[in-house]
This record gives sequence, C-alpha cells and structure tokens, in this order.
Amino acid sequence: MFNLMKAELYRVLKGKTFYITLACIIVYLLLTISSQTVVTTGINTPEISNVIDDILWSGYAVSRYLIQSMNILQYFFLPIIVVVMGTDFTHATYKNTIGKGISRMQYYLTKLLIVFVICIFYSFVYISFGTLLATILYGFHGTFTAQYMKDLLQPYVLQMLIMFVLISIASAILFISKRTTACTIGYLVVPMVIQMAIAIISDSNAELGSTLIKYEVLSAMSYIAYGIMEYSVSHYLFISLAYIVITTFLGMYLFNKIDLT
Amino acid sequence: MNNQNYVIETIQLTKTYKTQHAIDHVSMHIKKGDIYGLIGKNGAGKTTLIKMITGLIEPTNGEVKVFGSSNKKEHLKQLHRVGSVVETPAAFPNLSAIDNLRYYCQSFGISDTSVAEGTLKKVGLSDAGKKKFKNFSLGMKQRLGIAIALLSQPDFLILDEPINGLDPIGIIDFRELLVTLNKEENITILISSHILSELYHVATCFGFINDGKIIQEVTKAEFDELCNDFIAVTLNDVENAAVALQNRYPDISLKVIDSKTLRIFNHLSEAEDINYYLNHNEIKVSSIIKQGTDLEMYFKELVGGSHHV
Repeated sequence: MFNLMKAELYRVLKGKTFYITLACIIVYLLLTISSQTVVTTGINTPEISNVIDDILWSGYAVSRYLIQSMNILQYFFLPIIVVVMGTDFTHATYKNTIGKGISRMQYYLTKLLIVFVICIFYSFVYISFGTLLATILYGFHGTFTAQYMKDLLQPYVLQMLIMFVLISIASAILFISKRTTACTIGYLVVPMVIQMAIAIISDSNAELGSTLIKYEVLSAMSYIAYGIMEYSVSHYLFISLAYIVITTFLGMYLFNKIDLT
Repeated sequence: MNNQNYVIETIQLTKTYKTQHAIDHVSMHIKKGDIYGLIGKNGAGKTTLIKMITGLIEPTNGEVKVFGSSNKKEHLKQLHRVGSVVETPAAFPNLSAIDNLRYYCQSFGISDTSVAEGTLKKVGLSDAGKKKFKNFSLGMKQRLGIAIALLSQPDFLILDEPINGLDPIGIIDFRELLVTLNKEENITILISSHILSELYHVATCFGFINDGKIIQEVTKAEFDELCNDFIAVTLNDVENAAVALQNRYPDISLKVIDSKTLRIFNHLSEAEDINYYLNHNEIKVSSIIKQGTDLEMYFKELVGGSHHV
C-alpha cells in the first residue's frame, strides 16, 4: 500500500493538474485578499452575514476568515479527485494494478488517502499563503495565543472532516460506477439533494426534519465555520467520521463485488 | 501430470451474465514452460477467461488456480508472479513511456531504478522513452503494455491479442521477444490472438475456445500430427463410405467434414486403391485429392462442428 501511495504521488506530481489547482488557489487568494473581498459558498444567513461584515483586514483576521470560508476549497479538490481516482477508470489502468494482485481494498484506500493528503496540503497552502499575503499587505495586528490556535484548529478540523465526507461519497460513487461524470455529479449534487430532501421533509414533519438535520453534517459546514454550531463539537466529529467510515466500507465492499470489464 | 506443474489450471470455470454463459465450465491447463496459444473467434470468451485469471472478473462458478493457489487470498498473492496485458494496453496518456514505467516500478515495489530503462530497451522503445503515451502508435502502445507486464520479471505472462497494430517487422521482433522470454527467462506465456499463423510460429500448445467452452487442448506435436497430409474425398454417401473404409482398413484414421467430404489421415499412398474400393462398393467418388491443413483450417473445421470418426 505504501508503494502504491508513493507511485500515486509520483504520478500526481508529474502531471499538470496538481500545479494548475495550486496556482488557482493562489490566484484566488491574491484576488480576494488584495481586493478585500469576502467570498462565501451556500446560503448566507443573517448570523453569517454579521460575522462577515465584522472582518478587519489584517493577517490575524484573514487567517480566521480563511478558515471560515475554507469550504470554497471543495471546488478546488474536485480536479484532484478526478485525477487520482478517475484517470484509472477512464484509461483502464486499474488492470495493470489489480491484475498484479494488489487487492481492491488496498487500491481503494490508497487512492482515498492520497486525495486526503493532497487536500490537506492544499488547505495548508490556502491558510498559510493567505495569512502571509494579508500580513504583507495589511500587517498582522494580533498575537499568537492558545485560544487563537484553538479558534483556528477547531473549525479547520471539523470542516476538513466534512469535506472528507464529501470526498468519501464521491469516491464510493466513482469506484462503483467507474464513471468520472457520476462522481463529479455526486460530489456537487449529493449535498444539495440531501439538504433539499431534509427541507421538504421538515415542511411536512418538523420533528423528523430536525432529527435528520442532527445527522446531516454537510449543510452544517457554514455554521461550524462561523462558530454558530447547533450541536457540540464531538457530535459533528462523530457524525463526520461515521459518514466517512460507512461510505468507505460500503464503497469498498461494492467495488470488491463488481466485475472490472 | 502433477498438478503442481500447472501454472494455470481452471476447474469448471463458469461466468454467466443473466442467462448467457460467457464462459461455460472451462477446464484449462497451462504447464510450466509452455507458450499457450488461446484461439477463438471474437466473443468466444478469450478476454473474459483472461480477466477471470487476473482477478478482474469474479467467476460465477468454478475455480482458477494460479501456481496452484487454493483460495482467493492465495490467488491474489500468486498474481504478483504474473504480468498481463488485457485487451488494449493501458498506461497514463499524459506521462512519458519512462514515467509510466517508473510509476509501475514504484507501485510494484521495484526499487532498482535501472529496471525501467532496461525493460524499455528490451521491448525496443529506448528511443521513445520521453515520448508521451498518448502520442504513441498502436504498435508502440503494445510494446509499452508488454514492458509494464515484464517490469516485475514475472514467471507467467498473459498477452491478450498482442500482435494487433504491430507492423511486419514489429511482428517478427515480437515473435523473437516471446521466444527469448520463454527460452532464456523461463517465462510461461498465455497468448490469445486472431492471427493464427503467428500463433503457430510461437506457441507450444493450443487451446481452442468457442462459445465460452474450451473445445480442445493440444500440444504442438499433437496438432502437427492432426494436421498431417491427408486424402480429401468428395463423395455421395459419407456414412457408408466411412463404414466401408473401416472394413477395408481396420486401422484407418478418418474424419467426416460434412455430408459429402471426408478426410483420411493414413494410407496416404493408397489413394488409387481407396478410390477403386469405394467405387466397387457403389459409392460415387467425385474427387480424391491429397492435401494438408494448417491452424486456420483446423480451427475453422473445429468450430464448424465436424467430428472425428
């Protein structure tokens, strides 16, 4: 498995997608920070808008803002998911690896882990480069304290986990369908479908709706980012990890059963 | 033969899609050191059979034994000793040939950095190492596919239609490469192809597959014996002719081709006597000619449904 991970990294670093995505993240940061623009994804509630309006432009504030808005990274992750996992199915190169006796479970987990590692790397670049850039442009205007680090780390970990949930769902769809388009649609549409379904259910049955919301973390990303969480941190941690484990095991189980024709 | 000497053994292997048998109770045997030519029409089940051997397709029933493997875990482990090119050669289009090989070296845990260059040289692609796979001709892609399969120095090589796209010189080079791998590196080879004349040159045994069934397995020596010269007789009453000839020549070896043709594989110098004898038994002979057969003719007759008497 370690050999396969090394090989995957070698391939990703030899290709252009990794560098183009990295460049896009940097350009995005240059544009938003230099123009003092706040970009958010999803629906802005009054609570979120209030937090956004309060941003003072400095390295200290931007580091927090970057973590609050890091769900934008899910769109930058998509090309890497396609390159690491989808290319093998598009060009049937899985035959060379699986036909060599590498188990499907190892193969699946390797691909997933590599995507996670690259996404973590991108998120570090996003936060560190953005903070550095803002510090150069506006000064840092703050001090590193334990509370400051906790304020950054907690929403960072929770949001990354939720993005890993999305990646786990997308990879399960990809490995079962062997179609990159299905994976892309799944990655972008599944959260929306879940949220819409819950909204519809909530309209007709408020009690059931609120129970479902409790176990649906995808729509909670913005609230977690802005520290306006309805449930405890451990709740979000547990639910996210449960999603990742369940979708990964389900994906691996089904991938193990299908014929690679 | 001791089962331990089989590199591949399939036992009643079956693959069913809904109600259709893609592979129907196939029992195939490939001995160590063989170059096994798998011969079949399009859709006969060659690739499905190969995919079941390489673990890409799960059998509906039956068993595949790779180097005597007795369960799925052991099957996967023994596949480390197998190199394969299944259907079309697969590689990453945006990577160069050498980068593709380096990728697979790392995947297979090959730490020797010279292996990629050496393998590229072995398949005659050393000048195209920096060229991207997507810019390769079909022949070059075939060579790179074989290079990927050879990287880990396998004991058993599976090549599915490897001659497709090769030019005449490429075919000769490929033939020499196969013989070298088989003789000098002791690699057992399974090769499927439509180009039967080429298979005849390299294979040491043949398996004929039709409609998902292995209909015959023969060694090259046995095949040559079967394809010896024969007397082709065209006549009006095949059944009576066969009975009459068996009475006249108790050791006769003959085969009914169709309702008007039969072939006699011995007594080749007695065509005149055979003709006379058949006429004497009121069987009208239209023609009697001495002929030989080759792999293509043999296969055509085999899948055409003719039978030995």
